Amino acid sequence: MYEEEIRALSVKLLDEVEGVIGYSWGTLPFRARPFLCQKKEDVTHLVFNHFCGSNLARYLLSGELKEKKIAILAKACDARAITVLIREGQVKRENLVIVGIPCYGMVDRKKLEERFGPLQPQDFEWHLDSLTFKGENLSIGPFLEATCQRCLHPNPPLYDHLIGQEVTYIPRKRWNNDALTKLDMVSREERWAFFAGEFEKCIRCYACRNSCPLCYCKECFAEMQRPYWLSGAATPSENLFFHVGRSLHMAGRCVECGACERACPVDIPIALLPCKVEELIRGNFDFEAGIDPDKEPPLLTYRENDPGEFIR
Amino acid sequence: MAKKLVTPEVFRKKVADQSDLFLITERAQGVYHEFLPQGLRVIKTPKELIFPEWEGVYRFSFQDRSWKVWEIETGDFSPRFLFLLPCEARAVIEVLDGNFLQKDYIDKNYWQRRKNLHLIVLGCYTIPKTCFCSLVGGNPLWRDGRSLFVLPFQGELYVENDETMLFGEGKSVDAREEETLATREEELKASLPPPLPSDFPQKLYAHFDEGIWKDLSWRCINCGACTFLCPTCYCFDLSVEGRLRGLTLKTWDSCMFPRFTLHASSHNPRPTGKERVRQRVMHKFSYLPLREGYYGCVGCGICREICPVNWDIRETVERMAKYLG
Ligand code: SF4
Ligand code: SF4
Ligand code: SF4
Ligand code: SF4
Ligand code: SF4
Repeated sequence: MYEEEIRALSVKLLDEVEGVIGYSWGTLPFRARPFLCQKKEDVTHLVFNHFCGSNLARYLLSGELKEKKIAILAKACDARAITVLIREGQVKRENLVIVGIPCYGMVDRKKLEERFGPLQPQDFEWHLDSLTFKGENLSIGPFLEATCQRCLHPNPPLYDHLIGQEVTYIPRKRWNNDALTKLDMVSREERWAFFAGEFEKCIRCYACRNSCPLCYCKECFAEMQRPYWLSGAATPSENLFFHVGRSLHMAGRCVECGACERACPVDIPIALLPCKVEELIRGNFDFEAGIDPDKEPPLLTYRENDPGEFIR
Repeated sequence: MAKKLVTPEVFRKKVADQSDLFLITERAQGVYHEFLPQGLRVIKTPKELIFPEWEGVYRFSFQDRSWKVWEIETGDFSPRFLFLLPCEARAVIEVLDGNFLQKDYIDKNYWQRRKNLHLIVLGCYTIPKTCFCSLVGGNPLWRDGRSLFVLPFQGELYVENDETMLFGEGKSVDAREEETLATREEELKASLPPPLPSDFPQKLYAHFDEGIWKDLSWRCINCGACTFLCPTCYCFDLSVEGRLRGLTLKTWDSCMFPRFTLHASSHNPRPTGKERVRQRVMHKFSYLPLREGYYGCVGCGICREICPVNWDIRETVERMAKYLG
């Protein structure tokens, strides 16, 4: 999708930037991957499709690129993460050329496998909001990643150039398949049982945290020695503590991109926790992370005349 | 070596009847599910049975003005049988045993767990896309000659080394069948991609400072997921929990983490992703083969499967091999 446009623009941008962070096809079928394009002859590797889940904002934090002028392809959630990083002083706006890209959602390989068995790339054709499997046209909704099915912002809120046309529907409404709503509907006991089972599986590899574009602390509370917040032993209760702690650190910062969930090697739908916190903030404070760069994040703000007594 | 043929029905029934003796890795389950009864305990990676994610090493307490320290000993384990794929078996037999059961030092708790864990190697009759065992000295039918080995053959299951008749008496393999098997094995091996050049570890070692590492490592976000699920990665951390009373905890660790090499002085000899990725590749493809004679990678491909950004170890070593000529 949009390849011509992306490549033509990248050729132009490479005159003024050190590199363009985008996606190329991966080494295995149904995978695209982050790609740093630094030479004009390499722009032909740049692609965009339903397998470009990785949040590229993560790459702005690596020391190498931090001080350089860089162009970056940004889906809505990447652009939101970039907005938060700018607000938090982690990257400089003037160093970035943001190439916004309206996003129809990313496809979850596992959902394809469940439905179609062993996958052959030649059996599929991909369109913006549908796919063709051996000639049959199907809506893309059921095959999207859980965080994409509940997405509220398919269009990037911040960009210098926009590729393609804006998405004209709200995915969450259209696909009507919000994993969080389902979890909200069950009883407290069932919900507890669900999370207890998931935390049993967690091996505390921290891949969720390490792939999050906004978990950039040099020293994370999870591994601190003084104070010693939690044990390194991956027991269900310590795992719960880690994930609840992390979700609270993400409150009003998490952009609901699903990077954590995508990285988890044992398939824990871990984005549910920070996403739930964002849902509460949306309801209580009318705030969404990374949408409006000028709006003050409610949980990162202190006012002497705060109406809440416990804060003063 | 005892060799026999067992019917799939008998095999399945024998496993079902003794199901609490058996465990299976998730990948082996993926390949062999049609031959096995449901409900076996499935584990992610063989290492979690012998080198668990975390364990206490010793307890300590300060009492009557002196320190008391007790080793935490793992109890006895009753014998268990683990179904696993050839690459996973190689990871245990060559790499993990090689590391934890050395001539001059035996990790006691590892040995406690390992000595009663019997491996049942399931030969790969279909080869998943992510595999590359033949590049690193393995093959889809690799076995150590002592462990149990199972392979579908002419509608039955061919079994080696079943001294205890775990899968029943079966019928012995005749000379013609043996020949057919051997020919097929040869044909299969000949069809696989060739191993890495034998001087690869040496050449890699000599190219520690090469600029190409920056390029090779860029994509990796050092999330660590690959090292936690890699069947050979054995690095661990020791941390002390508690002050006057507590324990020393051993947990899985990863060379992908900045803290892995962070000195108390705050100096870090592997400050960026480049050094960390280079270490992961070097340890597996240079240091271990040069020092111990085996690769630290068995080509199982699980890291390629799970990496969230498709940083690909096979691509990396093949690129490096080409670059080094
Ligand atoms: S990535 Fe998954 S297994 Fe690893 S710490 Fe996060 S939730 Fe746990
Ligand atoms: S979990 Fe909290 S402390 Fe750890 S990296 Fe994320 S924001 Fe920082
Ligand atoms: S190779 Fe992939 S899975 Fe491994 S640390 Fe890098 S990003 Fe994570
Ligand atoms: S292929 Fe990857 S997971 Fe498997 S042994 Fe090699 S490095 Fe480890
Ligand atoms: S790498 Fe693949 S083919 Fe080789 S032994 Fe392992 S699972 Fe089988």
